[in-house]
Amino acid sequence: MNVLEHFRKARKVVSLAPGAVLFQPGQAADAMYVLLEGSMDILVGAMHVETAEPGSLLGELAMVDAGQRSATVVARTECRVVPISVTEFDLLVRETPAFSRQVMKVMAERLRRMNENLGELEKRVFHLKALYDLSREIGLLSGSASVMDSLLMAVLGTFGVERGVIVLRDARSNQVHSFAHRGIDDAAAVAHALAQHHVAQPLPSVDLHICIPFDVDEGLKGSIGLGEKLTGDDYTPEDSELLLTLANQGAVAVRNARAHEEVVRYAKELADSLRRIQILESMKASLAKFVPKTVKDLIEKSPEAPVLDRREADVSVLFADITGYSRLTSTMEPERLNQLVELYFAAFLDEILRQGGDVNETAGDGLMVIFQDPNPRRHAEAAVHTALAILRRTSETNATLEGYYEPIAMHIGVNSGMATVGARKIEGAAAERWTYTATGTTTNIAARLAALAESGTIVLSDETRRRLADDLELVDLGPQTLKNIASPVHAYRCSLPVEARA
Amino acid sequence: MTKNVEVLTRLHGDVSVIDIRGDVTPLAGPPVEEAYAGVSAAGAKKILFVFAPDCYINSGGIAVLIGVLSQTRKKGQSVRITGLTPHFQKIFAMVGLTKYAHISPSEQAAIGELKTGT
Repeated sequence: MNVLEHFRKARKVVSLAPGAVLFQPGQAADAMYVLLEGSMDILVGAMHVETAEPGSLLGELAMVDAGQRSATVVARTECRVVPISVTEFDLLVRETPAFSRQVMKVMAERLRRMNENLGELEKRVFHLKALYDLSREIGLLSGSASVMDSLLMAVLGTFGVERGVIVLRDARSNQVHSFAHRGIDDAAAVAHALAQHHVAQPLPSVDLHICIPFDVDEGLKGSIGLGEKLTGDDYTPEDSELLLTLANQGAVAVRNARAHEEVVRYAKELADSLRRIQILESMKASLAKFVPKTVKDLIEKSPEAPVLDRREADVSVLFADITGYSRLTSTMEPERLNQLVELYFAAFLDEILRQGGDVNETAGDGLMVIFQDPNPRRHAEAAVHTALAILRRTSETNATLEGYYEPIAMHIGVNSGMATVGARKIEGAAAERWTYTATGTTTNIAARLAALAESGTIVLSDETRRRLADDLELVDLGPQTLKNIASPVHAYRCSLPVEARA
Repeated sequence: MTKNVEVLTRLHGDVSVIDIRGDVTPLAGPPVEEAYAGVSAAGAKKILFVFAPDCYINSGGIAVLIGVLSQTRKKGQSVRITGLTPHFQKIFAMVGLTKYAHISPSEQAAIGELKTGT
């Protein structure tokens, strides 16, 4: 049946201007229409489902179920339609079987088209859901490698593909920075090929049916390439658009992940640096026990190249020995003797450091201490005050240890003058050792004066005495001939006042 | 709220059944692949994937299944899928997974098909 011919001569015809609504959802359905001239859009919700051309039937569903309109029909151009009332429709159906078949045919076609549209709608929902899931997943990831893996999985599942690769390349060198892949045997070669392929075109040489380049940042570019769809269908322009949207979402996440990785790297470097500083501080504290204060100060002043060269300097040198140490070694257990020496020397060390002296050597019963100061009077006074303090601390410690240890006595020599000060290397066959010391006649005289001193006394050279204030009570010992010293040395004895000794 | 995937295997005659419940996302990759590797290592020729009614499968999860099902094809194993909601049946058809495995209406029907080779 030719519907158009059948209704062309109808008496009742309705004309519609472009944009005029023939009917819309919710309206009571009291007629169907045959479109004689023009074209009309059929919409369900916001979705355009069909463009009706002359000969089309409109509103036929309402004739069957006598309900309300479910679609909107709008004139696209100037239109002319023939309305068919429910009564006329029933009559036509009864008397014109060809008209019935025509109505059924139109309804079947529209149902099929609706199913197709529904399938397309479901596909779009699935794609939107993929985008949503991807944004949620990659937002929780902190590494760029994890982001790329997640993006690749989302893309493969969205398009139904077994093989895929995502490559990030250096924008200047085009070298592969990193890549993620799935279902690809020679992934490195495919990634390399994709890194050189900067256009949205397939790459048949490595069996990639679609390739989409994307930007991560100025220095890093990306490409995503996919193999054939499981369905065997070609990739559509809509697929390219969706793939680019997914890739761009991944690119933002990679950018964030890289920023996060950089922060983590800086934090780790900072933690490592702090750890190194802690180790160095710990080493410094440990080494300080063995290194003279002057050396420590020189290293701190110039850590990379401390000035440890030997030089001539005006110094005061103090030698202190335990009187009768040989007798103690023969009467005391070595361990007990060591404990005893440590107790006394610990007390001495406090006094030495307080006066700015450097303990240069400790050898069994003896101490060698160097005092330096730009003012020659000051280091001489420091040396003598230290010597007096050593005698005082010996007396105090004797009192404290009374009943536990036999009391001991110290004898001390102090001399001042020029000496060669600095690092000295002691080299053996197997190893070498450096020491910081003062050598020369000034040091030798100090050692000899200590040997000259009686138990519980200090012997000073005239050179030291001349630098002191006059408030110290000294006994003139006159010129003293000292072993291996060319000229006699005028010496003076100094002791603790009696009340201090008590 | 994501539900952790739970994957269990069992035998029904000569059919190895892999039960999957929870959310099938890329995180499901290791347990699903491990379960498949287990039944394959045991010599499975007929495999049935049974999805629980509450299973949610996202695009990353589909990629996991594509990977596993492509292996079944390479190994010549007979595979059926059941338990999918009508929505996911459409999705599986849309992405072409039904080319790898037929979707059966029930576990009983799937096992019958696998046993008879239909």
